[in-house]
Amino acid sequence: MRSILTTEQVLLILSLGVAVSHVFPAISTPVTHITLARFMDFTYGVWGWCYTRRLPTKLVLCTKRSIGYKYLSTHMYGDILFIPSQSKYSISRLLVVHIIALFNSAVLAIMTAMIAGTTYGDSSQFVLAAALVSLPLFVFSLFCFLVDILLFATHLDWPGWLMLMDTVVMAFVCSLLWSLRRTVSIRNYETLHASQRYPMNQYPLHRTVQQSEPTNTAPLEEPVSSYKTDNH
Amino acid sequence: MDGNLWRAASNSPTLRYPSCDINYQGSGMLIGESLPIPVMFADDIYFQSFCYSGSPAFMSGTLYDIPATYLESVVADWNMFLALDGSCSGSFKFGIFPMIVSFTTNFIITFTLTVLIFLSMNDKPYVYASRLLKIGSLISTVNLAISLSNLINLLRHQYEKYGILGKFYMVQFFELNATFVTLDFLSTFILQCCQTFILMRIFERKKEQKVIFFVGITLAIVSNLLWAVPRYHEIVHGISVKDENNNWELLPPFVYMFKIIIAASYACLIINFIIRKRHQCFKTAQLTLLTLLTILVILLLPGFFIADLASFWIYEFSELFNTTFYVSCTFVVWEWLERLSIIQKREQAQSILGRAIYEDEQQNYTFAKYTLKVQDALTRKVSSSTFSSDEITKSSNIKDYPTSNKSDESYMSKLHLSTTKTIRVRTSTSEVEEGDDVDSGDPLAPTDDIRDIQSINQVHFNTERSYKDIAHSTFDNTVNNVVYFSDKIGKTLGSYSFGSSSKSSSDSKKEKNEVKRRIGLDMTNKVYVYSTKDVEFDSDLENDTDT
Repeated sequence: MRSILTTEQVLLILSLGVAVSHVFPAISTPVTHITLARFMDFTYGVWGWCYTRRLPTKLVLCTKRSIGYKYLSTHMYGDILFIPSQSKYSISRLLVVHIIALFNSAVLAIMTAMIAGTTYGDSSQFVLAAALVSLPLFVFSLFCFLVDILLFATHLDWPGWLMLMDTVVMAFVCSLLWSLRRTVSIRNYETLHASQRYPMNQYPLHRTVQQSEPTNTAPLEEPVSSYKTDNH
Repeated sequence: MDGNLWRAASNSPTLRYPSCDINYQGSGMLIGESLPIPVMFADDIYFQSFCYSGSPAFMSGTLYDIPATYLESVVADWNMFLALDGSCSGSFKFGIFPMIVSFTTNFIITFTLTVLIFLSMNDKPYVYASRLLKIGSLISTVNLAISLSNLINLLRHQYEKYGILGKFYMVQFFELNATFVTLDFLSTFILQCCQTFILMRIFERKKEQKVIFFVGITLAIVSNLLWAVPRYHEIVHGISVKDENNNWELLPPFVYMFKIIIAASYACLIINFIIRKRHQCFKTAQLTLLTLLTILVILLLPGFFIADLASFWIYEFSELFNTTFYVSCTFVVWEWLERLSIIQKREQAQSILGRAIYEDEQQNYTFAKYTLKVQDALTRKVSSSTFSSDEITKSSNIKDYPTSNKSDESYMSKLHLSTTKTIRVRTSTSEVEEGDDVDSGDPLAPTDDIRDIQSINQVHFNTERSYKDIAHSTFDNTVNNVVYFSDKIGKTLGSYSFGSSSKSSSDSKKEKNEVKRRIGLDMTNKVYVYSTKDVEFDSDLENDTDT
């Protein structure tokens, strides 16, 4: 039975999904209303944090957009940062891994698109490069999740939990890419040798003994080692 | 020890206990040997209770027959200290005894594993990995032994000086002792390198092995350097890097998570391998147990991270467990792989090639070269004997070409055939070797024979052996012979092992059968073709075309 999607297409879909899920933390709270975590009246994002008071009147105070949390400069309740876990505030600077992961995932998505859509998919070198790019992305996805959970404990919002899913998906994507590299490598090797080692038109099956002149065995005089293969 | 790596300093150390300050107690009676008079009455008494690193200390012994109690303020402080939550509290689980117990347990586990490593690991065929693992485990054992003796010394000193058992200085010891930091750095680095070698063992393809080697070693170097630099900075300058508003502040939590990520990646790869080989991993009961132990061990460090998050009391000792973790998750996985590889070898031994060959290995055509050389050597020998003999019939040449024997060709055509074959093979060999063209019109030139023999020799004796090598091999042989004979003598005398004197011939037969079964010779009738592709040599192709 033929599968509906090829490996390359599955890879493209998964890596696009990972790239998209890395966008949400990058545009979190001070930028949009998406929050990385929520605790009491506080909402947290990569670029800063906000204090929301609903009663008596709705009031939203946010910090300036920068990496690493700072206190609000207002002198009122809610200007002091409160982190759900007991972490040091400086750890919030490590949230920068979300941005790194976003770029990394964008690069991987582009590479998998090229593998799925262009002839780069037949180059074992390119697939190897994509597989190498996928390794740091796995590391960064895991790092994002660890930093999030270290800062916000279990008060994570869905973009935070998405990082855990990304890590699992990335583990799958990594193994798929590395097996794709093997497949491409074997495919290249076999097509090369199928076309050059057994040229069927030069070895017709009805060949007789009289035809086996030494001059007729030209293809064999070329040694196996002289075949140009791409470097696996 | 690294409880406050990422955790903000809790409020407890800033909590001032009133009894630790000088308090006015009014007038009263003083009794004591150190006083000028053993019993005296004082009008104004100022009392400061002994405090251990800012926390109240309390005598655990019970005071019998003395109608005196602690001062009220001291008892109140002590109760407050006990009621606190967190690592600065006086509760038992954050005390020194769990720490001593876990430290000695770690030492015993590491020591046992080191002994096992030295007993059960063979140097061959993974010489570097096994030696590194031995060195790494030895360093960790030595490190733990030194630390344990230092700790006990510290404890004794503390007890003699203050009469208390506190853990504050113990915690400081692990952070500020240069020997501990250096040995820990070395052992962690070496064991992480071993983990890289283990992963290289799992992935058999050359290309993947190269990638794993470079990535693994780089990660090991980076993580350990980043770990060691702030530690040494702390030791040299005496400034804690964990304080806030310090330039180094971000580094320890970063490295902490980095190490967990490396361990998690390692665990992912091993679990991936287990899933791929699940049929072999759960084949026998013993291997199943070992597989489960492997999974447990590789998930230890990520597990400690979760314990740390959950503020489970054990997070305080995660650094202590680190050494044990690295030793066990290297050695247990290694041992598991050894046992697994026996099963794999048994399956592979029943195939033609004896192991899986990947297309990566065809990069330099090593196998093709080798096959051509062997083939060349055989045909050359055969053809030269054909030409030297004057006999027409029954030459070995005919044996080599069974198809030509059946055909009604003349001897000349056979001769011609063999000559062309020889030329062809030799040409290909020479191109592989040197890349020069050989004149096919003069196949019987004597220089060819000489060169050919050389090329055959080059397969096996590529380089001239030095005197050192010869001496070394001679020495090895001598030692082996001596060991072998002493073994034999020992066995015949019956003093070598308990059961050797009563060993019957059936036992040795059983042993032989066991060995046969292990290397796959028990089912010689069953031959499995391991590669799915047919192996065809040029000569076969030619024979096909000839017939």
